Parts: sequence; structure tokens; C-alpha cells
Amino acid sequence: MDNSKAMDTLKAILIDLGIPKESLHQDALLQEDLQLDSTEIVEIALGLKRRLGVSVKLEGRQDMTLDQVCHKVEAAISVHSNSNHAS
Amino acid sequence: MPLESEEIAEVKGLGVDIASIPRIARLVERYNTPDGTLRDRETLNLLFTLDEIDRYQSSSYPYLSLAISFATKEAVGKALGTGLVEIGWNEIEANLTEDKLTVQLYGNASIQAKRCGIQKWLATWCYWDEHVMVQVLGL
Repeated sequence: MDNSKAMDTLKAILIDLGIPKESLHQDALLQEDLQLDSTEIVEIALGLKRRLGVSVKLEGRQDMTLDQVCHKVEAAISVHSNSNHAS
Repeated sequence: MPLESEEIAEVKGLGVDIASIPRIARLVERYNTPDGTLRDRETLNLLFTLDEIDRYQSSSYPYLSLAISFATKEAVGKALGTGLVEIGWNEIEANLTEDKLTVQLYGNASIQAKRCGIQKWLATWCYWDEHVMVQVLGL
């Protein structure tokens, strides 16, 4: 998957949560910039699972940008894909 | 819940969390059909254990039940001192029996509790104005 598809999916989830489209830059931080709380961050993880079939952990010691979330999504897809090929 | 003085001296972790019932309802309703049937149990299982989902589906107050579960997970994460950084949401389970709340841990949550020396959990909850508050003590 290319980064733009992961980013498009992430933005769609955030718009569903009521975040204004104009706030959604790749460098925007989930908590500091978008003011998301733990319930909303969980909703993102569930949305990614439902729309892309990947499980990503978004609870971290540091705030994450949209771009960093997309990298996590890509890494999860890569691991999932490799494990399918190996089996 | 009353504590023996010996237990108070051995508190190794304390966590509190408040969850909004309407917000948990909104989250879960995304995985329901219009008639309220749960259509995506697998995705919801990222957040809640299968027993918690079963309780939600059979409860007279389903969203209250899930809000208690959600707040319990957050409170236990705080009591463990790590939050939910390396712990799966579904590795912390809240059980409700006649309104009595108990905590069961699995996987990394259980490992982290052992690291903290926690062998037992005491948990209480209360409800007001469409919110629940959960408090846990790790002993």
C-alpha cells in the first residue's frame, strides 16, 4: 500500500470523528494539534482495522503525527503480508 | 469497598478514569447494524474481550457496561504506571457480577502487573450524569 492510501483512510476516519478537514496536515500531532483524547485515538485504531484490516497500536509515550501513524499502518501491512507469504 | 489496614500499606498501584457513556455508545454503534445487532465483533475485540462483548450484548444497560470496561482498562493502565503503551486493550478485562467490579489481566498486562508486584486488584465504580468513574487499587 502506498502512503497516500493510508493517509486518505486516516483522514477519512478523522473527518468522521468531526475533525475539520483543514486541520489534517501530515505533520499534525494527534493530541497536541488535533486535541484527540484516548477514546478518539481508539476509534482511529478500530477504523483502521475495519477499513484496512490492520491492527496498529496508537497509544505511545509520545504524541504521533498523521505521517507517523501512516508509517505504522504500512509496517503493519508489510508484516501481515510477509506472514501470509510465509504460511 | 472496605480495606484492611494491612492492605492499604501494600498498595502498589492506583488508577482512576472517567468515561462518557454516550461517547462509548457512539464508538460501538459504528459496528452495529441499524437494528442494533453487532456486525463486526472481530474489530471490536481489539478493544473489548469476547466476554465483555457478550456481556454488552446481553446487558439491560449495554453501553454502561462497556463504559465501565473502557474506564477500567484506562484506570488499570495508569495503575501499572505504563498506560496502555505496550499493553493491548483486550488484555485488561472488567467483570461485573451484580454490580461488583473485578479485574482480570492477560498477556503483557499480566506481565507488567507481576513486575509491579501486584497480585490482586480492588475496583469500584460509580455512575452520574451519563459518565462512569472507575477506581482501581493494585495490591
